[in-house]
Amino acid sequence: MRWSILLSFAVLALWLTPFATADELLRLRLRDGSGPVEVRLIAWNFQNQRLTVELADGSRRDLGPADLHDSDRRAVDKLLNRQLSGRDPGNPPAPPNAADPAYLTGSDTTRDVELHGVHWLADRDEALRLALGKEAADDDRPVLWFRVLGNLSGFM
Amino acid sequence: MRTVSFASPAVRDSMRDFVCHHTSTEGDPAAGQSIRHRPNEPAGGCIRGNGPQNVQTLFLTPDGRIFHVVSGYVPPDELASEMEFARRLFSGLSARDGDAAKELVASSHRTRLAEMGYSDGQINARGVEGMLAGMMGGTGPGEPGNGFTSGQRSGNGLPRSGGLTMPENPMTAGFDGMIRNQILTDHRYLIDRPLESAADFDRDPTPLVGNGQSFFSSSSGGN
Repeated sequence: MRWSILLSFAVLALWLTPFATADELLRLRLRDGSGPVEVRLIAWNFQNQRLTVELADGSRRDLGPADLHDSDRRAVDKLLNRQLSGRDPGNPPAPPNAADPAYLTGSDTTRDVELHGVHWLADRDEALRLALGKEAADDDRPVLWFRVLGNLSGFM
Repeated sequence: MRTVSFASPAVRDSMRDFVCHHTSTEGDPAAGQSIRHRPNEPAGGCIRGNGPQNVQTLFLTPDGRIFHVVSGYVPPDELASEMEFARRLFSGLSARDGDAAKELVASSHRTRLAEMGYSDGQINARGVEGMLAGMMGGTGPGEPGNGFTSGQRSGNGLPRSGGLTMPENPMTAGFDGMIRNQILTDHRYLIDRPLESAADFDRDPTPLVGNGQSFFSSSSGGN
């Protein structure tokens, strides 16, 4: 399995990701026989797809796909997910924060949204009605339905 | 999508040909997870297909039937291309009903995949075999069995033909297989389920997005 696929979506957003969480350690068995060693993730370099880790003695190493066993790669993947999301991927997402200004200003998911000069209808029946032309079949329009986890005008 | 793709002038122009509709999948067990961000926060770098459980862009007929879908993040130029494909397909549908309309949807998606360089084997494969077929061959131009010839590939190994031009983006390097597989999955969905009702899809999107929990980050900080 390619290293890039293994780490996949958790790290795509960041070119060089520094990790703020310093207290989560991993025990890795390196393929060069120097493991198991306890390491802390320092950074994920998207460009060259290598991890920088800090060993217990404070020294740092850059690790590539060939340096880790498969099971350790999965452990790294999970840790990246946790550190990037701030929560365990196995847990459901937090409910919307009702105190957030985006919600207080009425940008809930059931309202129409004006975005970049385009009007987005929240009601599907209304969208479908609007899509039906008035006079002939060729004045119908298709509906572009954006189905998203979150709020088009607030948190996404 | 909101910050980059929907803000693109080309996409905004194309949206005039569509009625735009949005829904949230909050609470849907098939939805993934994401680092939540506000509209005014800068977008991070994403590549096509990121977060397929979190974001789907679907195209519906006025009677609420799906004729095209793009899962996950789509960069602006590719979204404009997908919208043009949808516009042309919709235009063809206006003269067809019933099975003829379904056949047009299925055949259009087959043709589009073929134009993008996917082989018959990749288009027709299903299940695990299909997933592997979709991900095979992202390591370089023109390898046997990957469905591409070197002339069809862009600088990052992805197909140029079929109106889909992948950006010369170093961030996509190494992710060709994943992107290719997502494109394949989307088109296959419509080949297998042409003109499925939007209501049915909303009730159970798992045939497209799966049951696993995907995680998606599009924030730009180190959080």
